[in-house]
Parts: sequence; structure tokens; C-alpha cells
Amino acid sequence: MSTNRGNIHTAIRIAISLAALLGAMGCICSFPTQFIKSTPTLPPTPTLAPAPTVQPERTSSWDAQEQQLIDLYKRVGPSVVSIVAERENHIEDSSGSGFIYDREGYVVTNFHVVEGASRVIVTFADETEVKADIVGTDQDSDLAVLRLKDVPAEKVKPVELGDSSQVQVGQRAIAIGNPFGDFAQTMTMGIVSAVGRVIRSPNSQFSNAELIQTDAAINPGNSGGPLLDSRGRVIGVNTLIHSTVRQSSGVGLAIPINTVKQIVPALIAHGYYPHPWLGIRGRSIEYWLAEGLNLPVQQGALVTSVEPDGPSKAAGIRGGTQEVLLDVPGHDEQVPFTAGGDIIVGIDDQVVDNFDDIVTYLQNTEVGQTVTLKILRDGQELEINVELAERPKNKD
Amino acid sequence: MIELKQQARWWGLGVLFGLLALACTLSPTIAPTNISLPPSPTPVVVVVTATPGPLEAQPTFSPEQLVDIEEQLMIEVYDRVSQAVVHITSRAYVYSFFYEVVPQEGSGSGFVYDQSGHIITNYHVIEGAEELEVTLADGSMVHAEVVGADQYNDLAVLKIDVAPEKLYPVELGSSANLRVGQRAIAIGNPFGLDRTLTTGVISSLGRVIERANNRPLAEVIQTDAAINPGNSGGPLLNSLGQVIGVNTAIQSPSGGSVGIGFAVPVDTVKRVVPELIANGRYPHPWLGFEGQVYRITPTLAEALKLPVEKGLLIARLYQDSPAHQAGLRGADRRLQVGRNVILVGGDIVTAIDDVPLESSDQLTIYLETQKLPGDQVILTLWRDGKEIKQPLYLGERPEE
Repeated sequence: MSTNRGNIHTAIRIAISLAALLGAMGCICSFPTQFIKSTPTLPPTPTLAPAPTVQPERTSSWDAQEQQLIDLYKRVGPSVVSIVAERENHIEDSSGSGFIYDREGYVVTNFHVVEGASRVIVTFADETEVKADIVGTDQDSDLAVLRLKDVPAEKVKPVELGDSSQVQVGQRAIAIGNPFGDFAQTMTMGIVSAVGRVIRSPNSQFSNAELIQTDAAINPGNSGGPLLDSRGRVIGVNTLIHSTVRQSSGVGLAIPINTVKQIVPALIAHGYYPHPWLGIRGRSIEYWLAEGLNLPVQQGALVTSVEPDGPSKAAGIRGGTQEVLLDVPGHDEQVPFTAGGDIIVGIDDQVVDNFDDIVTYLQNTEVGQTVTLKILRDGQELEINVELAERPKNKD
Repeated sequence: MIELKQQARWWGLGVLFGLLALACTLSPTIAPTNISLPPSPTPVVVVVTATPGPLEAQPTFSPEQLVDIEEQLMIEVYDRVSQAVVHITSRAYVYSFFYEVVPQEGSGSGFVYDQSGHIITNYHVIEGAEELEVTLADGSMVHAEVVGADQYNDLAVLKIDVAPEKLYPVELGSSANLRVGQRAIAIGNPFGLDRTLTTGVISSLGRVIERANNRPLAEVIQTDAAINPGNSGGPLLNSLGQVIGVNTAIQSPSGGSVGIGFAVPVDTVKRVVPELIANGRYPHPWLGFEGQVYRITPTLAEALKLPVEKGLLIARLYQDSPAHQAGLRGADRRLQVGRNVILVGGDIVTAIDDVPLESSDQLTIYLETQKLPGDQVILTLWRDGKEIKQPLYLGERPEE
């Protein structure tokens, strides 16, 4: 189920390893203890800058649009946190961002920010540091939920969640996060560049659907931080960037907030989220594939294999039967394909034009739900019911 | 896990030879058409009144009008301020591998400060230069002399000999009242492309950043407006076109803009530049342990059994510095904590003039913005489990 041709193969996880406090201070041992008038050689203590002193309002320097952003930052900033995940060896300590999800003190971030952490430290905008427990993680969606320990109630200021199904390309997108682990509470602004992207997370063999793309500057360390609309409502969780140099290139991707709303309550309640699963592998049909394999349709999803323990196998969906060499645009040599499998052209009431359509549809279903696949087999159209099972764990 | 920290570094924004060549190649296409703009009168700017409400509370503009107004605002700011922005070319002569003398050129940006011909730029734009040339907005190129430089704040003042009517000084704003979220506009010469306008918002305020040479830069303005090599020394503006900072550094693994640029705040410019014009230099106050401290956190306090949970643990003192002469103590032993060695046993500084200190950034900002060499400060110290008030006179930070 990982056929995202033309998609972001080089998408880069934003989490980065950073020397945490002790790590940075470790540098000191390489210098003599007493020295005379030379350039200071210690690295800076990795501290947050103090909050800027707020002067009495002076209103002549900005206009109404700027005022809206200024107010947004003041309102939402305290809900955004910096996260340092410490690992046993301290070499792989990493930092990222997160946001306060509800009044109980749950914090949402990316799975890859806290993956394998032995200790998680959350830092608020006012530099208060609090330890946090990992309550639940979901590797496939790259989401994780933390619970703050011993946090004063007045610090727990949850964000307002938006509705990512309403997000439009062109609307403003604002990120607040901790780029490079050094610049906590950084606000960057751009627009929504695209919606509905289907991209396989580097952490998972499965794809995530309905990702929001933005040109707001997103960099390593922004991971897990909120993407906001102009009213300050969270529309996504900044998760990936597409870049050859591991830095913002104006192509950032956020998990849509509706996915968060679906998965996070399960993570809080049970520690994990059961993803619905068809148990098929396949690829989108394109004109050259339709021509090369002599398919009866130009669009749809061609099933290449059926997982032996999956629900589609049990329901009688068929995978490919033979290897065929095909000319593929952009390739010098012929490429092998598994042909002969079922062609999925619809799922429930939805038309399936490509494989991503299936991934996107499944995102809004549940384990145990029955879906009806409309398939083409041997020139005939069939409808087959499949009861969605629970997706198996990632095979690492 | 991707290890980016080690690759990431501060990039000074001067452009070296190759990029200047780029500017030369491009100049025919961008030359005289856009440089003869007359100074426009006060621009039309939409300004909110005393207590601005949310957008919908202002029914006078349709969304289309707001977009138009925003564009108009940018155009007016550019028309007015770009004339003040200059292109600075620095030339130094270095020996090649074969001991031949070859000129090495760098380029940056600057802006006209007054009608006497003073130009403000970054120190690192003119650092090591043997010859300096300034290209004005009308394309005329003139020789420039360095009037003064402040390495610590990365500022320099140049002087050019040009008739006052050819100079259009910028208007200096204030950086004290800035807000994250307000617009930030940069004009400069990224990659040698003259007077390029880029826009964004203020992303953060009040940071202290550490540059490649280990010198901290206090209270910088962070912006996501695209700042690139060659923007150095150019102005960062608010939506009124007033200078709020001098673009100076970027955070970037690759050297190009990643949406994290830094500007020296204009209040620093206003403090330093008159000194540079009058005396050629700016004296910085100095204690002698700046940058040589650990920030105390509850974790560190617990690990080292320190008497306080906040403050600065002095690791080392500079020999003969004011702090050294006043008898402050650096570390006297090393302690292994996990896989790290920490220098312990030094004094703990918890306050300066009764202003609590939690980070060395706070100390840097306090000294830079509130004090001068020769001023007295009172440090609150913890030594041998007791709190002490230690007065001392600030020295002048030595040149490096």
C-alpha cells in the first residue's frame, strides 16, 4: 500500500538530534580550565530568550492585518511548547514542538519527535520546564500524545481546533514552533499551497492522506507544532518537509487536524489507534499502464497483491498472477509489473481513480466497518464486501 | 534521526567573488529603469486606531480592497525606501597559491543614514576590506571610507562624499515596541541582485544568537522574510517603511534562506552609530565571565546539589577581568555527570543590580542596553552556601 509515485520520496523528518543542555555543556571539557584573554569558546547555554518586554500599546506601526497576526501570536503562543526527547545515550536527544490539546494537560506532537525517548521535557513559552509521560503513539500517522506532569493549571491553555475539511488553497497558514531546536516560539507565515496530499511517512509502510501543504517556513524542529488558520485555529500538525538540504524549501506538510481529532482520543484512552486495513497492495492506473497491460479502464487502482492474513483475501479479492515487463515513461529500461489482479474502480459511493483515493477514503473509516469494493475482473464488474480489519504493526 | 545541528551554522551574509560576478552579468537587465523614482510624499498607509478590533469590525474595506491596500503599501514603501539602500563592494588583496596578488571582492547592503553621507552596514561586510565602493540607487558608484565599526554588534558606519540632494536617508523607527506578527520588509542585494524587496512577518523577538565567531548578538529580531547572502547590512522595515533593524545573519544548513533571518534592532543602531560617528568606536561593558557560565536548571541544581534552582554557575573567568579582580571564583574542579564533564565549584550569580538572572542572555542584554564601562553593578552571588552582594566596576570588553 505504498505506491506514491511522484510523491515525496525524499520527504524528510523534521526531528533533529540536538545536544540537550548537558550535551552542549560537555564541550567544556575540551578546553583548559583557566585561560587568558582570548575569544570565549563556550557554546551558548541553550536557553530560550526572555519574552520581549511589552510596552504600552503603540498602534501607529501596524495595520489591521498585522494586528490580527500579533493578537494570534499572543493568544496561541502560550499553547505551543518545545519538546526535548532524551534518549538513554544522550547522543540522539532530539527536539521538536507540540501543542496543548485539552484542559487535562495532554500535548500533541509527532511520533518521530519522541520515538524511543527515555525522558521527555516540555518547555512552555515562558520557559517553564515540565516533565511529560508518553501516553500513546501512532507510528503510521506520526502522532503522539504526552501528558504533562505536575503542571500548574493556569499553564494549561489548550489550542482551538479547526476543521481541516474546510481548508482552502490560498488561505493563510501560520506555523508556530521551535525550528532547529534553538528558536522556540518562532512564528512563520505563508499560505496553504495544496490540500489532500497522500504521502507515505518515512516512518511507516503506510500512506497518510489529506495532508496540508504550506509554504510557511517549516524547518527541522518545527515537527509536532501547530499549523494555524488566520483565526488561530489549528488546522494541522507540521510534520514533514520536502527538501534536498534538510531545511525549508517552501514545501512543508502538515497532518490535517481532522486526523488528529480521530486518532488522539484513542491514544489518550487506549495508548494506540487501530487503523482500518484492507490488506491489499496495488498501484494507480495510468495511461501507459492501461495501454501496456491492455486494461479496460484508464483510471482506477490495480491490485498487485493481497495480504495472506488480510480481510480482502478472505473476501475473495484477487492479486496479480504474472510478471510483465513494460515500457514506463522516464525509464530507460523496461520495468516489471504484476498484472492480472482485480481493478478497483469504486469504494462504497466513491469513485476510485487512483490508489490514493482508497487511502483517503479509508482514513475516515473504522475497524469492523464493512466497505463495498467495486471491481473489474475478466471484463465483469463485481461488488465485493470487505470487513475492515486492524492494520498490523509496522514491520521494521 | 537526522543530525542537523552539526551542519547548521550561522552564515554571515557577505557575498564573495563569484556572486559579485553574477551581479555584473545581470546588471544590464536591471539597471537604470527602476532607479529614477522621485521621492514620494508620505505614503498612504492604513493604520488602525487606538484599540484595533478584529478584522470584521472594520466594515469599510472589502477583502479585495484589503489585498489591494496591502500591495499598495508594499509598493509605496519600496518606492520611498529603496532609494536609501546602497550596494557595498569591498575589495581586499590577497596572495594566491603562487604568491600573486589577486583582488578578492565581497558585497553587501547598506543604507543612507543622513545627508552628510553616512552609510550604515554590517561590520562583517567591510571586515578586512582595503577598498570600499558604494553604489547608490541611481547607479552612481562612489568611494567610501570607514568612519567607525563595532565588531560586537556587527555594525559599521561608512562615509561617502556625495551632494546632499542625491541622498535619501531612511527614517529610523523604534525596535522597543515591535510585536511578533507584524510585517517585516527587507530591501537589500541578495546574491548581488540590487534592491530586492522581500516580505514576511516578525517571527520572534529578544533572542540572543551566537554567530560563527562565538560573538553573541543581543535582542535580535527574527523574521521569515527571505534574507540571503548579500542582504547583510540592509534595512529591515516595518509597514510604515521605518527601519526597525539591520539584516545581519541567517540560520541555514545550506547558506540560503530557510525563513530564519536575524536583524540587529534599530535601537542598538541608534545607541551605537552616533558613537561610531563621533569617536570611531563603541565601548562595551565587561565583567569577565560572560559566555563562561552554565545556566542552572532544576535538573542541574539537583545533580550538583546547588543551593538555588535558577542562576548562572561560573565556569571560568578571564584573567585580570573586573570579575577576576573583584575576587569572583571560577570552577575549582571537574565533575563527571553521565558522559559529560562539568566544571563546578565556582560562584553562582543570581542577580545583577537586583535583576534576577536566569540565563546568560539576560546578562548580556542587561549590560549592553543598560550599562557602560566604568559603571558600577552589584552582583548577587552564592558562594560556600552563603549569599553575598558583590559590587564591581565594569571594564571595557577587550578587542579580540
